[in-house]
Amino acid sequence: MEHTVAALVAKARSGDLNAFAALMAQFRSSFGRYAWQMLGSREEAEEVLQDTFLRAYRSLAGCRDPGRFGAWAFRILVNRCRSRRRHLVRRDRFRAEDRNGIESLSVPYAEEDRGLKEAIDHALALLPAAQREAFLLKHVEGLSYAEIAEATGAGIPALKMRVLRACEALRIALQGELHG
Amino acid sequence: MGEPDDDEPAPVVRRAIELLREQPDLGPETERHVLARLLTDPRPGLPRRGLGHLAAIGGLALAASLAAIGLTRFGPGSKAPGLREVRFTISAAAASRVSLVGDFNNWNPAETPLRRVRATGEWSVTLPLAPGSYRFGFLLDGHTWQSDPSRPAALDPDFGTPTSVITVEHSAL
Repeated sequence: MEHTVAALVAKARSGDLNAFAALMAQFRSSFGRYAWQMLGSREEAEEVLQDTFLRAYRSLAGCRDPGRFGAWAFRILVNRCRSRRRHLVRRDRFRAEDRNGIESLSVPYAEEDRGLKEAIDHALALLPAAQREAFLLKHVEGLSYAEIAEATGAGIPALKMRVLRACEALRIALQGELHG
Repeated sequence: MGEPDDDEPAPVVRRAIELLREQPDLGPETERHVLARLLTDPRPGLPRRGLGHLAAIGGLALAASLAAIGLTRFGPGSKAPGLREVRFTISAAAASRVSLVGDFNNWNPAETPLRRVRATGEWSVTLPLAPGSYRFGFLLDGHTWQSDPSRPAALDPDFGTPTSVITVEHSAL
């Protein structure tokens, strides 16, 4: 029997870990992808994702609209990624301009896409964090600007500008990478 | 999904977006770790139903060992050695029900209801708590969040809700 997100949240609030596991399974893919692309490392993404889900579970009472659990939890994730990235920068373990700091994905991309994917990873890592954040939420995760504003705390005009600038920076960086 | 874009990205950026969406999933390990941490959380009052899911994702031995740990739930009125009784009160004349939610009960609004103790609208509950600091708040009628004005505030930037902090000292008794 399939449960709605709101029903799963209600069950999780009463301590049903099965329900919370179902919520995690539903949002893991999107949340994990975002964290990985924001932090440039699978290991860091896994840690942040676990922390996000733990915080979400412990704060479910603060989720005022259970049907929008995903948007609410995305806000936690965005904050955890920001916090983790600040920590990594302080420890000099993450340098956006250092190509070696960006982990290549292990997924076997088609031969013709491999070069483009590497160029994308590099270009993405060079974007200012706020632009990368807005670009990924808008174009990769498919959130509306209202949802991104909720998740990031930024205003919609500023977000649109960040997305535009990110797209332009990527277009310039990836020029010549698209063949055929 | 979002509204129509004001500016459609260039073809190379659209291709980049397609590839970024193909990012591999982190896998069910994440859920397993989270569930294990929730199940072994030392804080009292943590709900621990749903071990069946651990079995379903291959953690049967883990589930069994965690279940064997001996899980304690605290509710109003129960008390164990080393705990101190702490009284929480709030004035909420218009509320029809009030819950105490915090680190000590996993922010579960069903866990710790307050009782109306005065016609003037004062609500109260007494909890046994181990020494330590706890974040908490009150939930009025299931939807209105309120902090405790008699306690220090702890604004949690993750959730944006006003939250109070209580520190339970070690008993001198």
